[in-house]
Amino acid sequence: MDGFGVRGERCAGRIFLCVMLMLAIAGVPMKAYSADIRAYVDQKSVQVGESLQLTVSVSGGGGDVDISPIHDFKVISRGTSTSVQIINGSMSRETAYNYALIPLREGNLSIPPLSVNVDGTVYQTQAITVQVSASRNVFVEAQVSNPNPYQGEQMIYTFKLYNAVRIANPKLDGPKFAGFTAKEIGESKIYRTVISGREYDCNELNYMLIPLSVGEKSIEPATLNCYVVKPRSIFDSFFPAIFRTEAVKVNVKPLPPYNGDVKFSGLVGKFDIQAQLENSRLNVGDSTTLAITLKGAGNIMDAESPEIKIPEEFKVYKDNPEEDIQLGMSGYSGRKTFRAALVPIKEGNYVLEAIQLCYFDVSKGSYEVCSTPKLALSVSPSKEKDKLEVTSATSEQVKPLKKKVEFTGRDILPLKEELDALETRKSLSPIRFALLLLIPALFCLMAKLFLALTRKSDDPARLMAQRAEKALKDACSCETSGEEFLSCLYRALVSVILSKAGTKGESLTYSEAAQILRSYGYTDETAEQAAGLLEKIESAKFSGRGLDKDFREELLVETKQMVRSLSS
Amino acid sequence: MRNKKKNFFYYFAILSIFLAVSAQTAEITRSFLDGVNDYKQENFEAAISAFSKIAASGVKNSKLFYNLGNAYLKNGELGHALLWYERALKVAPDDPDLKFNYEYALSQLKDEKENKEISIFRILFFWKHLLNAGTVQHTAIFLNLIFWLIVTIRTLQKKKKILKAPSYLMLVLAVVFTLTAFYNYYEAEYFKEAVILPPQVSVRSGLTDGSAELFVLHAGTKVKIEEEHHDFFKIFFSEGKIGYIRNSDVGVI
Repeated sequence: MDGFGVRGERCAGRIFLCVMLMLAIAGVPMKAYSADIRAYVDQKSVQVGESLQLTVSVSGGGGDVDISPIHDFKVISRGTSTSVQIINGSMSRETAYNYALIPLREGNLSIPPLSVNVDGTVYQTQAITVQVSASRNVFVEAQVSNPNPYQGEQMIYTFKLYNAVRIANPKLDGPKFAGFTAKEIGESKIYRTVISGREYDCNELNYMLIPLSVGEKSIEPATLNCYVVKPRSIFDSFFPAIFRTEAVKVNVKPLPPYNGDVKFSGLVGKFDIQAQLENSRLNVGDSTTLAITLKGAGNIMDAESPEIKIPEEFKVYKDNPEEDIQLGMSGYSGRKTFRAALVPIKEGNYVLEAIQLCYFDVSKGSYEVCSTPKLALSVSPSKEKDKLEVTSATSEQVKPLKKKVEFTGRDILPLKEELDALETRKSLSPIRFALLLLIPALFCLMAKLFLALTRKSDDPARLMAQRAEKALKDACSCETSGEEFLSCLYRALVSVILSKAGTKGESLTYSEAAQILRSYGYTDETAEQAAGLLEKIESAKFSGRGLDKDFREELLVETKQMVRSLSS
Repeated sequence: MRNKKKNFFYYFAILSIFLAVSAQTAEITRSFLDGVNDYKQENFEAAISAFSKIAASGVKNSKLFYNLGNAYLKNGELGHALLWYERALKVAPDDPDLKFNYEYALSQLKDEKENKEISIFRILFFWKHLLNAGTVQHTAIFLNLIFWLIVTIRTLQKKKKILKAPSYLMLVLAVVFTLTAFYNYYEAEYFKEAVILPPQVSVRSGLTDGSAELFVLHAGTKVKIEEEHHDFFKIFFSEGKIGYIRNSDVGVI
């Protein structure tokens, strides 16, 4: 609507400019008028929910209208329109401020004088009275199923919208239900109904409420915003409307004092209790399930496991409770089942005491106790594992002879009278313990070390060097045989060269000897000298000529020098 | 002459020590036998006195502790009985007689343990509750010795494949038992537990007798000692049940 107002102003502005231009051309004199303020409505009698139109017109120019004094209506702005009139050559201009008013209650409602500010001067409009009568086209109502509930009692809050005419875009602003636990029940119901001979469409919404505390409580009004549709010739008209229910008073009563013997379960409503045994005849060690079912309407979801007196001869294993609870027009209702597995440990006939449930019956306004019947249980001796199956020639089955041994009395075993009770058993200190762990590891390390040292003597380089020294020593002591002397020299020289290569061996050619020495960093000269000496010794050895003393001395000296130089 | 005199004093000193030790041993033995006789004659207080005297002299033996537990139990002192059974179990956790009597004493406890503690150590070292600390230590040393022996043999033999599987097996077993032994040392040093001795004890919120009573424990209930103060212990019973208790009201295991 604001969009239309802005466009209207622009359009009026253009027209005004055009008129001013025409007047200027025609030479029509302009006359200024003092502001004339009026307020008026389109109808003075409406029904609740219907809207009327309020117009504040300002002649001679625009102004600011203050609508804050209006309290009996909801005010919706409908924009502004401007009109210009030229009568007998004089021009007048009027601005109209339009509002839709929706009455908030029945009766003679007043639109108080409104202030309009025109160029700093404040004008007042006249007060207008509008008669608002109850609407029978559209109306709403709210009610509770029980305005005087007990604390914890369930009740139903119902909101109903009746419309005999078409409405559009309804929006419900429901109450907050402060002081209650609230839960919407299902979807809204839509049906047709007749009231005072007139047919209405009815929309119904239901909430389940449980008061949280005692005392007077008020459920605030529910408000429905919608558009009432009025059919016109071609197009429908939509009028905004507001419908409001009355506040609903609820007086929550406290539960009366309870002095009964059975413990009050906290349940409020109407309930019943049932107990069922899966199997009333069983053997020792077998299990049977005891199912206790609470059913009824009320706060059944809050029910706790009832007190069950089980004989001591049974082991009890409780299961999680099972719920089947629905929310309907009577509130929460359904069943809650507590299950426990009972395992007898001793044979015999037993009776399970009646299980009692105390609840507050809202229909009677008093505490009621319901109970289950007593349940009988017959327990036979165990058959498990004790069954002795003997296949005899006649295929007769021998009855089990073995029985589980049970204590028939309890006491402690006697004293220990041995004198070793006086011996102190000392435990190892952590340090001694760690040392004892380390000793074998140290021995192992020592063995490894020894092995490493002994393995060093197997080194071929070392062995060959020793061999060279020994051969040289033998050569020095050889006085008689010349051939043996030469062999010793040959062995000494070959061994010392092979020791450099780190390999074992007995012989070398000249070129191999020179190559080994070169490859291990000796000079060519040394390598050639060694190869030459080796050739010289071999020549002397295989030529068969006799060894004179000088030649022998010369070879020995040269070989010694060579061995020493290569060994160093 | 001087040397002869010196030797005389030397031998005299040795003889004196020997006689003193023998006299003490004889005294302890006599006390033990007296305690046994008193117990048989149902004079349990005298038996407790005799066995306590031996324990106070420094004898640490599961059988002696067991006897003390029995005497206290027969005398109606459940707290002290469970304390000595607990001490005996630390030395000999695998003694069947001890376990039988301990279970019997436990059945008379008034306080139910609310939450069973699940310790990761208890799961990892489950066997430690079957063997006493000494057995675990000696087994660890023996397995360690065997392992290193195998390693040494393999080193000397230079054959890498020899005894490979046994060496791994021994390594695993030795590590397991060594860790268990060290855990036992750790537990003995840092985990302190105690047993409530009087029939009923108030666990309080602070270190004075005027502090608010938080809960009540009864004789024989085992608690963990979390902190030690001058006259009080901060104890842990179960999840959420922590408080202070006079140290004279509990016996440290």
